[in-house]
Amino acid sequence: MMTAFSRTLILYLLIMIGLRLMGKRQIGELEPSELVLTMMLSDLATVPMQDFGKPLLSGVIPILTLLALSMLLSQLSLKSLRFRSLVCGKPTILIENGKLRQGAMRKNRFTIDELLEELRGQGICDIQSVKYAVLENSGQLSILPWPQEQPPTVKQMRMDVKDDVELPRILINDGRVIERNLVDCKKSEEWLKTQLKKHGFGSPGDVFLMTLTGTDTVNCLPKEASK
Amino acid sequence: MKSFAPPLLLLAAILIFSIWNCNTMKSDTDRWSDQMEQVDALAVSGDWKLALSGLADSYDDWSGNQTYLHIVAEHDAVDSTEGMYLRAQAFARTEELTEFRAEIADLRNHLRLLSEMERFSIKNVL
Repeated sequence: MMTAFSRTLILYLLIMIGLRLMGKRQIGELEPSELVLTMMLSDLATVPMQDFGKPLLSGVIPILTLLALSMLLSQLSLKSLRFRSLVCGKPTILIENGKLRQGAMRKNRFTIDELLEELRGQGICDIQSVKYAVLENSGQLSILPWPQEQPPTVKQMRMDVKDDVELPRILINDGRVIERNLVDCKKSEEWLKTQLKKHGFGSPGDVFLMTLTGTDTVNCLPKEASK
Repeated sequence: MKSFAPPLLLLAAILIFSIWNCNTMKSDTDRWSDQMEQVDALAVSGDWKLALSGLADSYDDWSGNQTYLHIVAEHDAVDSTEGMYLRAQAFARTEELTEFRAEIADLRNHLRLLSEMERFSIKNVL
């Protein structure tokens, strides 16, 4: 047990350091600590699961140690910015004001081909049309084009647009009335019956989906008969 | 500081359990090994009846810890130790001194390894 405990501590820290040294490109979508945890947990769980000759504790002790370490690291990251940058790294600016920062690219082992590929993926063919390109801790590249390269927003065009964005509430889901949403929308059973009648339904069971928007617009989808 | 408590407590609990397990394993295997030494001396002096009874007592003591041993140690190691106990008992019944002593020496070595597997040492960690 002591061996498993200390080996887990050493391996976790070793893989964390290794991943940090490998740079952001290798990480993918997860942060280094999350990736290490995912990689190690999935392997650890299968050992006692497949080999009945090994005690369950030989998998449980390292898993619990890893979870505790991971919780500890995330708490430390929350408390200390320095620790956070040590564990997760810092976002790196690869393009600043349309200019390529070759030093930053070399440091992160990010090739020009990869950068151009990322830019093309976002419909950008020219480096100069990018104001900022930031390599995030997760390894993803955030691209911010110059304002003149972006479609204008309503605010920029100084237009007066009516706010018609409403999150519809589901009142009937596959024939079942969602009572909680009905109460939240301040509607009664009587109102629901009236609406059903108005849309040509006999009961909630005939409705596949009924939604209500903030502007009191009711949308109904009838339930198809099962074959 | 409160938020650090759950992971630190969990790590501390695992550490305490590991140290306790290491000590328990050592004291148990040392006890069984001492019992084997006494049984061996009895067999050498020709007192097979007492040797067999001592071996049976030691086996009962061992069997009482089987569940715990299966929880913390490799099942193969526990099973082969059990096999050695049974073989040693069979040799004691037929009073075959050479085989009996070899089996007891093997058993003691196996018990030492069982304890060593759980010990916190650089050799084990690396």
